Amino acid sequence: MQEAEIKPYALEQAASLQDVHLRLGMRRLLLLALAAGLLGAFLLSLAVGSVNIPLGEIVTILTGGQASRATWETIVLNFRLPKALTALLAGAALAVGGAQMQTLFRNPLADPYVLGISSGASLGVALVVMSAGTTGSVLVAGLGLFGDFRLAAAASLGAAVVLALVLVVARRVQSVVTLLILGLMFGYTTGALVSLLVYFSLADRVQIYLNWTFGSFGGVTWGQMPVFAPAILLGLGGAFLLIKPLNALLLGEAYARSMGVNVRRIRAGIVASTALLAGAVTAFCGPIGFLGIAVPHLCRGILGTSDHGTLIPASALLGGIVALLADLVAQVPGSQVTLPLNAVTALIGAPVVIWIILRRRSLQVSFGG
Amino acid sequence: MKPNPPSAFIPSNSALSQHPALSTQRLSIGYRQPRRPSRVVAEDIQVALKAGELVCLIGPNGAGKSTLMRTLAGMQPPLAGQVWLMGDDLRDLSPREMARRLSIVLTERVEVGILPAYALVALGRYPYTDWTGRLTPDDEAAVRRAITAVGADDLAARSVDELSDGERQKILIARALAQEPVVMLLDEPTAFLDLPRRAEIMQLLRRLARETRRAILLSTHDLDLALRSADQLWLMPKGGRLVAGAPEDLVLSGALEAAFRAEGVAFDAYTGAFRIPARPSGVVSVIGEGIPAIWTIRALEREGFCVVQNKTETPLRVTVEPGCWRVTAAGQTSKYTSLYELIAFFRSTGG
Repeated sequence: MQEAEIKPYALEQAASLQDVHLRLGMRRLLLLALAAGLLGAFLLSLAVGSVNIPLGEIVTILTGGQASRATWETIVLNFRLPKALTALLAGAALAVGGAQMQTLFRNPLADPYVLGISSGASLGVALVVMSAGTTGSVLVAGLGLFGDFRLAAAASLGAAVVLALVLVVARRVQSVVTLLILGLMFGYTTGALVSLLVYFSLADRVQIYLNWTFGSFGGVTWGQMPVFAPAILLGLGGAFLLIKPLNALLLGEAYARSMGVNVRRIRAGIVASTALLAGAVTAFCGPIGFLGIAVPHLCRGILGTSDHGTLIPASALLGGIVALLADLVAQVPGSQVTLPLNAVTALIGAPVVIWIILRRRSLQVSFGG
Repeated sequence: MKPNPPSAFIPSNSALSQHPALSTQRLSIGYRQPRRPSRVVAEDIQVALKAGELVCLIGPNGAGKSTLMRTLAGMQPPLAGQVWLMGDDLRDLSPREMARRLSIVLTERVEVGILPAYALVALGRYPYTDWTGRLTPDDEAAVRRAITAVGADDLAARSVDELSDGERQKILIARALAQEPVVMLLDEPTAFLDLPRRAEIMQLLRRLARETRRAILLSTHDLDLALRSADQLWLMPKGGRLVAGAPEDLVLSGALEAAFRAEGVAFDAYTGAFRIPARPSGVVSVIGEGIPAIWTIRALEREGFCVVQNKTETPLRVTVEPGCWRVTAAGQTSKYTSLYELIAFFRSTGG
């Protein structure tokens, strides 16, 4: 009986529904293409650098074989592999965090840092680097700057303090706009404290702090990876679990609640996941900008949907690709020069986003919030 | 006109036969304020909404229509009293159970980004799907039924941001329908639509209430349309008590007129229409019959005249003739070819 009711509809609407399913099929293909692109970018980032290593050799090394030169093995396994993994994870983390924030705040300009996480991390780092006494001088002398676990620890602590504050607030406040404003205010406050620290600090310490703010994927050693990678994977896992409520939030909190979403709990979940992602990246790589705001827009533009079932995995994949490529460019292949990562991401990325958004009629339409 | 909906579409709950779909008991609505007495918007509200009924909630701005809607939807707690949804107190229902019994359509225009209309309607299945949100064949069937029920088949594959306001509202109604609730609450669903679209949506809701046996409550400012479409009116005067009844009951009891008189709008029980009272201009007699005479009277009433019909003893008379109007005032006669000119004449002579 049910069948008979549906049939006439299927006949009448075959074209339109087929269209829907065709687009779904296309999306799956595009996701596969992105995955392939990520693999390609990953291998490329292992092969290209101050020394170029043939792709075949890379595969040999990765599969546990003997490379034709021993130095290549060292370069790939000890330097490029952790760096590429860091870039991949950080890129995915920032993009997914950005997508979540844009939906939660229904704002195209939201990024993973709107909650003030990176400001907290900045303050932590600024305190450690610029505080007088031995700590600072040890850092300066050590100059294994980004590898220094103390920096990551300070940033983590700073991010965690802000995270805890935001989480407490997120469970209490009625309106998501309040949360947004509080995040901004956290940011301004910590920014002001950092300015004060910078103002009263020695030039060389300020330089160290500045270098940290440029961002780098090169700081995560194999020793730190067991902290960094699980933190990111946990945050990403959270985002994947939240796909269904995120879709409900596309309609706004009132509709979401009417569909049975426990908005406060879900909001706390989204904030926790994003804070973990942004906090871990900032702690280990510095405040890497632009990726988090741009990649979700690119994904909506490329895939033509705001459905989080597609958007979240696509953002993770494309975020990884963009981070790997940006790092590649920042290395200036074939030279010893290294550019600030944040400058590269913004300089290359901004025009791309502008192009995508202009093609898509308006920002309002493409952001999906 | 349309085939009967399949049985699965009709809410099947034994509770339905014993209880009204939605009812309130000594309900007080308003806002709790920290360290101050609560601000009561309305109290002692006692209403019932039955399956298959279309109810329009009307009242002037600021009377508390939205507050009542939000309270009935469980979006804000009552100050006192109870809201019963199919015999259960709203406060005892889990969010999921609540979502399976009640769905909403809001006034505000939603920006969902790039999403096909079909996917938006499918969001209505939220309280039925598992944690991944994957649609089962049953869910897909429910979505398609909802789309067909609102007559939006041709919109299903289009992106929501390409739809007109009227089309978008249909899709949002379909979404609320796909939730397969017993009660649908719509907060001013026609606010942004033009008149034909308003009438269409109203007719659609009326048909949905009948055919799908849902209880539909909507708030509206469209008094004419509400009077013509609703099975029941809930009339909320400013600061007064909510009155419920068939539209005609409220006309006969004078409740409708009383509620809006305070707002400067007069209700004419003869024509069933609202009009804005004008400065009184005097008495005029209209001589003539049929539709032209009716509209002449309306034009004169709009100018504030007290109109009598077919009396020749008043000093001011308008004779309706085919294609023209003859005015007799203080023995002098003049002729006009349109009501616009006629009214302009009266205005120039100044009443």
